[in-house]
Amino acid sequence: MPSISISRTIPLLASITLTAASLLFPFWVISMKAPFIQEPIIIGIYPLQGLVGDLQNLNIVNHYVGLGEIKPENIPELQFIPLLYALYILLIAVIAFYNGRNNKLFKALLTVYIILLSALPVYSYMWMYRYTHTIDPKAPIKLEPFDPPFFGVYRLANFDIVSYLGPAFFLPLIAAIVQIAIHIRRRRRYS
Amino acid sequence: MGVERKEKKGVSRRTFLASTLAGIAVGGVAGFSVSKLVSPPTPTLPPDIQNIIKERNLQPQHVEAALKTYVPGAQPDEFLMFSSGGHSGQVMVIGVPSMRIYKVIAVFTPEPWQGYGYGDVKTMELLQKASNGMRFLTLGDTHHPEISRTNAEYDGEWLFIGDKLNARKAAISLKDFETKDIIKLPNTQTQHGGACTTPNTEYVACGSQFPAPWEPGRGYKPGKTYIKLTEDNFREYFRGTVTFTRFDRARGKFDLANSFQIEIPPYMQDLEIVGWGPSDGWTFLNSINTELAIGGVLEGKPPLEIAASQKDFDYLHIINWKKAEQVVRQGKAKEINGIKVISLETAIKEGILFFAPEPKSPHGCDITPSGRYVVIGGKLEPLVTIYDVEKIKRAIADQRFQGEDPYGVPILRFEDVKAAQIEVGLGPLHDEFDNLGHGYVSCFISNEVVKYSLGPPDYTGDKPFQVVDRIPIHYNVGHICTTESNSPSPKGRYLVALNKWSVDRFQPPTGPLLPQNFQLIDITGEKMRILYDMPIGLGEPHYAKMISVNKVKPLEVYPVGTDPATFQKHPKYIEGKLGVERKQENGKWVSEVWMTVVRSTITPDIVRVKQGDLVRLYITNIETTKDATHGFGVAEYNVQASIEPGETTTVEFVADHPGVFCFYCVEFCSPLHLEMAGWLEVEPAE
Repeated sequence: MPSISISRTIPLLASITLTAASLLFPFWVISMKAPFIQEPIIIGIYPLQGLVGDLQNLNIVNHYVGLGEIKPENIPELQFIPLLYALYILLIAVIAFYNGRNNKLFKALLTVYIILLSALPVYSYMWMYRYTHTIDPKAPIKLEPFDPPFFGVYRLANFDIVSYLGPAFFLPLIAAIVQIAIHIRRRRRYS
Repeated sequence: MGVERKEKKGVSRRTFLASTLAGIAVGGVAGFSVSKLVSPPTPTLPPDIQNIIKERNLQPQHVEAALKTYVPGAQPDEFLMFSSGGHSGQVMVIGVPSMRIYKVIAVFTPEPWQGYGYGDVKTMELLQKASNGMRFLTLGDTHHPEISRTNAEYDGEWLFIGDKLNARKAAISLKDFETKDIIKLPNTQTQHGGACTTPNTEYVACGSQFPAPWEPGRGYKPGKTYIKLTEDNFREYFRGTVTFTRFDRARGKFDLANSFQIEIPPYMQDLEIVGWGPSDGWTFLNSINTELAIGGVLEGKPPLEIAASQKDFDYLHIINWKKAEQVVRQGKAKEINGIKVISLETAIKEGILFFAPEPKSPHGCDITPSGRYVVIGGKLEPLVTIYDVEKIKRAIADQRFQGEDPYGVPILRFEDVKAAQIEVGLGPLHDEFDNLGHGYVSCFISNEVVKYSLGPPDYTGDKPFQVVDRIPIHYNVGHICTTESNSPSPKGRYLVALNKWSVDRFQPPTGPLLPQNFQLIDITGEKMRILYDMPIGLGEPHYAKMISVNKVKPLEVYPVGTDPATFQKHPKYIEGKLGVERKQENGKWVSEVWMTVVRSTITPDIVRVKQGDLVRLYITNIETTKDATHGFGVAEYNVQASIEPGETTTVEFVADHPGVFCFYCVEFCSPLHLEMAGWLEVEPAE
């Protein structure tokens, strides 16, 4: 049974800190810039606050083309995000603890962690796909359903759009990679 | 070899892991801020710039002037100039050095774009309050703007402007560039002295221009006071005033109850200035027509212009306003028509009012940055006369007087108070100052701006009180305006000549009525240089004040539901409330309408009322986006309001004619702006 040592404690704390730090950042950001607005409309999805940004302006722009009104109180999924992040933090702590102690458990939990982490952008994409494919037929400006601008640089009507996964997605991922790196190193050392 | 290979293998795996980590981290951060990092590369000067200069027939000085004045879009100007709009009744906001008009603020005259005076209740009430009991006044003659001060420095919070024609004063908030209060000065018919503020904007001061008929003990009431116009009566019963109007900054209102007025002789008082530093507590205004002429061309008298210019000297009025304030506190003032008035007799007895001779019929009355000198333009003499405030105070303390005027006001000796007289040019009208101890004077007749040195402590060089430069202007300059002049810290850099005539400066001309010409002059170098000619399409400007652009901090939008009259929540704004409620108020039917405007819907879009109803709409622009302003115009009813983002406004009119009337958003706001409309149905009365 390995004793508690600095070489074990530091990666454990580092991984927890990385995952916990993600609470301060968005996991997804979209920035929309049009010629007539000085400041781009920026909407972020944050682990704790949910949707942050000038939703009213976004909704005003969207209603012309028949996209639905985005109201955080009508999106129950947002309430699960803090729980999900609590789970990430818990999981990464347990993963870090079993790293080098119980390979099987380590790998199993790591898989769960990675799946849960990927689920967030996948679900968000699917939600947005549904949103951009549900268009009010009575809209004053007719628009064909389109794939959501989820990751990358887009041009949509008069908007230049940049969207990307944010630190709240990458930080928990880095925490996992740190654990994998330690795992590989250990295996090499003890094999 | 084996070791080497093993090391190589280890390194490459570590490098791989490290670079993956670094890549993700850098990618995340870069992605997070990518939208802020994008900026286009700076293009180089096109090689054909010489061709442009040749094709457009420009001289090198034109190119230099263009480069010094061009301000690219989205970049700030250096200064904001608030110019009077003369008998347009408004105030202009102009950027310097671009010389672009940003806004014409509605003040004394209805202005439809801003929904000023077309049914918007706060503006209707303001114009009503500003009226005189004789007429609903929609005409004003704005002359002298002033910016609020803190420790005598312009603070960029409030703008004040006087109406010469009806003796009124307005306060404009520089948070939203809208008029918040107007006051009619009691006992006064016309004014020309202000506005000018005391060092911490406790009072906004203002001297009258033409004296008004006063009934003994009862002052002047527009439309009520009648004194037969004779020379004797003029001397006996006509009076001028200097009014110190208390300004309540927090409420943005003039406070007449805590204001006071000083009765002065019926000379025609002119420009006024309130001092700071050594001149703190004092105000100065000059006068013309100490001859007390009233004209009478067809009654065998010389015209006023001749009769008023007979004496070699008129009187610089010197007023100790702090003492006046004290005297009012001691209860020695009498309330006349709503304001505490210090009688001429009391003003003399208490040592509030003094005169100093000044070359006849002067114009301009300004204080140098140090607060030490009062500078008068000679107008009919080619001189600028400079008074030393220290000498004035000493002469008053020593009671050194040459005599008194017919009303008993003590007159100081000219030689006792004069610092210098500088011969500048013909028709010197108005002086402004820079940051290096120079004065600038407009010379109306000789068509030039003349620069001269002041004395210590403003100017510490070895050639005080001397002309140092002159520049011809185009044409007939009235006032001039330098940056933050008439305050302790002018900023130098620019001077604007407010020229009365433009003659040939704008091609093609606009028919017989030509615009005035604001000429921007660069005063940074040894020689003054003209940079720009700016036509003014409304008239006619008199004086302007220029302030550093970073001192003005306007709102971008109002918090939703704000009443701009108070900057507080509008009492009738209720979030989400919409619809029409009909009720009786004092026996009259009122249809109250809660309405919102947002791109691109007016809700409700059908408003049904009955003929004779007072229609009272509470309209909220629920937008939070900068510049998303909506208008509300009602066809046939002469109603129009401007509702800026976040604003709630009350619009009122009597639906006295039956019919179905369209209303719509008059401010083009969105692709479906044309569809942003609705109907007012006025059902005929039984």
